[in-house]
Amino acid sequence: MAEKEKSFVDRLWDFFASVKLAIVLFSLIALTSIIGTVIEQNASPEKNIIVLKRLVGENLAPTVYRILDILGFMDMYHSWWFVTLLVLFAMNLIICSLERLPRIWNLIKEPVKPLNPERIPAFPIRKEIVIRHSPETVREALVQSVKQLGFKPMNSPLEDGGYQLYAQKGNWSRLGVYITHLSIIMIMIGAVIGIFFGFNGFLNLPEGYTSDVAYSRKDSKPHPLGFSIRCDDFDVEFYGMSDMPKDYRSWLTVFKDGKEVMKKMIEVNSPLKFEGYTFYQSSYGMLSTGRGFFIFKVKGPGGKTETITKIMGESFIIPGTNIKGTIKKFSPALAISQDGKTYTYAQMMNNPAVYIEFTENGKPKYSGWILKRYPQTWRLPDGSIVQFIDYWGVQYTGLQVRKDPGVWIVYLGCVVMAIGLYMAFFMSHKRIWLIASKAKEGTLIRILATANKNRAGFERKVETLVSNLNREV
Amino acid sequence: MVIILFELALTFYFAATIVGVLELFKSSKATTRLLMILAVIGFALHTANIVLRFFIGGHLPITNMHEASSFFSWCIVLLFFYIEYRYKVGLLGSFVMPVVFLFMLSSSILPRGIKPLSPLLQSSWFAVHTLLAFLGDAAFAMAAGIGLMYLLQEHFVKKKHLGSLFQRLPSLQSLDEINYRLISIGFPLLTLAIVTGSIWAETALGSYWRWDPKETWSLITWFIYVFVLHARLRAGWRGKKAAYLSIIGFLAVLFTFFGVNLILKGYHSYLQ
Repeated sequence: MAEKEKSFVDRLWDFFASVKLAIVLFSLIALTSIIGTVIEQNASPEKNIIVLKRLVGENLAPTVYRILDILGFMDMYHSWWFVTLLVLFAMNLIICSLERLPRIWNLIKEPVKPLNPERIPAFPIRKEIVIRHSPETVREALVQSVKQLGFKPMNSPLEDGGYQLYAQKGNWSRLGVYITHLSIIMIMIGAVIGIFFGFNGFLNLPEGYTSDVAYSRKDSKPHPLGFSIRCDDFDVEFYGMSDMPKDYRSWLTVFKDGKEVMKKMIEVNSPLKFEGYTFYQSSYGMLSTGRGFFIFKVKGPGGKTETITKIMGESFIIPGTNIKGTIKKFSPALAISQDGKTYTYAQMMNNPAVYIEFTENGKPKYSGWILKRYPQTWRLPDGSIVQFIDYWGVQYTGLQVRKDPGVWIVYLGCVVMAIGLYMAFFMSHKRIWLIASKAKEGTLIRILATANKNRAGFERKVETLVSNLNREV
Repeated sequence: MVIILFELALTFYFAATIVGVLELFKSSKATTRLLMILAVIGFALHTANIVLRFFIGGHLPITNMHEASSFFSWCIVLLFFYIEYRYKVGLLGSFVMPVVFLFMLSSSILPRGIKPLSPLLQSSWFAVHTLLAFLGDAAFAMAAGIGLMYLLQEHFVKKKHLGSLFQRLPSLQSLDEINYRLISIGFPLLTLAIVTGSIWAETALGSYWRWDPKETWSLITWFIYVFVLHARLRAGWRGKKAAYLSIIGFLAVLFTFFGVNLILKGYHSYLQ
C-alpha cells in the first residue's frame, strides 16, 4: 500500500518535472491568450456580438457568444481555467527546477581537474603546437597567456617533467537558468499578494473637495483610506496653442487626524504616495452640476492689481475706474467659425473663455470674450488688463488609487530576472587545459577547451592565444 | 532636410536591395563590397535623419508608425552589420536588405509629422523600454531571416541541388548556430522590454499588468520564444524545426508591432 502511494506521488512529480508539460503549457497559454485580444475583455455584450458576427456570421453569433460567456472568455485572464493554466505553469516551473537543481549544484561544486594525458577525451576545441624550448622555459609565457583570457590557471606536474595548466571560469553561470526561473516565481508571488492583500480603486475628486474613501474597481464600494485627500486644483496644459495635451496636473493635499501632512502636485508619471496608497493621475472631467468660481487678475490703468473671484452673473470693478464688468457667458472650448460666429467645440476645458460686458456708470462700454489661453484677449481698449486665471471648481480629477503590498516582490523579481538572464545568455562556463610535455624538438603543447555557450567565440580566443604563443616563444 | 535624408536613405537601401537580389544569381567580392558600401551610406543618412528628428522633437523618434517603422529598420541594419562583422555570413545582405527596404517603404507612406510627447510618454522609461523592445525585435527579425536561409539551404541539400547558390550560402550548421545566437540575444532583450514596460506602467498608470492587447501579445511572443529555447535545449529541436519556429516567432513579433497598433486598441495605440 505504501509503495503504491509513493508511486502515485512519484508519477505526479514526474508529470510536473517534465519539459513536455512545460512545452504544452507554453503553447496553451500563448494560444488561449490570443482569444482575449480579439474579444474585448469586460466589455458590453453588444460590442463583442458585433465582433463575433463578423467572425462567425449573423446567425451563429449570439449562440457563440453565450458559449464563450459561460466559458469565461469575456474576462478570460481571470477565468478559472486560465488561472489553472498559470498555476500549472508555476508548479511545473518549480518542480522542473527542483528536479534538476541538485544535479547542477553538484556539477558546479566539482572543481576542474587535470586531464589524464594518456587518454584525452574528445574536446570540441583542440589545438597543438610545438615550441623549440624546454617546458620550464615557456611556463611563464603559458601562464600569462591563459591569464590573459581571464582564467586563473592551476598547475599539475607531469611524469616526464612537463606540466599541465588548467582552469575554468563562469562556473556559476549554469545557475542563470534557475535564477531566471526563481524570478518568475517571485513575480507571480508578488502578483498574488497584490491580488489578495491589495486594493485597486478610483476616486473622482472635484476641485475643492475632500474625501476619506476611494471606490473599489470591482464593486464601486467605498473603501476607507484612514486619511483624507483634497483636490486643490486640476489643470491641463497644452503644447503651444494646440489641443495636444502636454501635462495633466492635480494639486493634492493629504490630511491625517485633521492635520495637513502632505502637499503634492501629481502628473501622469509622478503619483502621490501616502501610507501604502498611491494616487495616480488617470483621468479628468467636467462636473455636470458644478458652478464654479471665475478667477481674474485685474490691473487697472493706474497699475493697481487685484485678484477677483466671482461666480456667473456677478460683477466687479476695475480698480481705479468706474468700469464694471459683468460675467455673462462661459465656454469651456471656444472657437470662431469662418463667418465669425463663436461656438463651443469641446466639452472639456480645452480653451476656456468667458464673456464679459463692461459698463461705465450704467452705460454699455464694451463687451467680448476673454480667453484663458490667449493673453491678447486680456487687454481692454482703455489699457486695463483682465487676466482670466481659471474657472475653478467645475472640473474633477480622476485618480487611480492603488495599494499593492506585493509590488516590491515583483520589483525584486525583475532585478533577479535581469541578473538571471545575463548569466544564462551572456555568460558561459569555459574550461581550458594546456598540457606541456617534453618532445624531441622541445615542448609539445596540447590545448583543449570547452564552452557551454558561444563556442565559436571562445574558439577564436583560443586561436588568438595559439598564434600569440607561436609569435612570442 | 529630415525628409531629404529619409528619401536618400530609402534610395540607398533600395540600391542595396537590388544588388542583393542580383547577388543571388551571381556574386563576386565586388558585388558584396558594393552592397555593403550602399548599406553603410544608407545607414549613415538614416542615422542622420533619426538624430535630426531626435533634436527637433526632443525625444526618441518612435512616437508614430512612420518613425517606429523607420527606427525598426535602422535597428535591423545595425544588427546586420554586427552579424556580418562577427560571422561573415555569405549572402546575408540579399535576405536582410529587402526586408529593410520594405519596412522603410511602409514607413515612407505613413504620415511623417513630428509630434510632441503625450503626458504618458514623458518618462525616462520611454527610451529604455522602447530601445530594448526595438533591438530585441530586430534580433528576432534577423533570426527569422537566417531561418529562411536555413530552409532554402536545406531544400538544396535535400534535392541534392548543389548549385552555386548552395556553395555561397553558409553551412546548415552555422546558420543554425547564428539563428540560436540571435534568439538568445533577442529573448533577454524582449524580456527586459516587458519588465521595464511593466515598471513604467506601475509608476504611470498604477498597474504593472493589465492584459492590454500589446501586453498580451508581447507575452504571447515571449511564450513562443520560451518554447523555442526549451524545445531546443531540452527536446533537441534544432535545424529545420528551429528555423520554422523562428519564423513563427517573428510573425508574432510583427503582429505585436503592427497588428496591435493598427487593429486592436489599448494604451499603446497612443503611438498612432
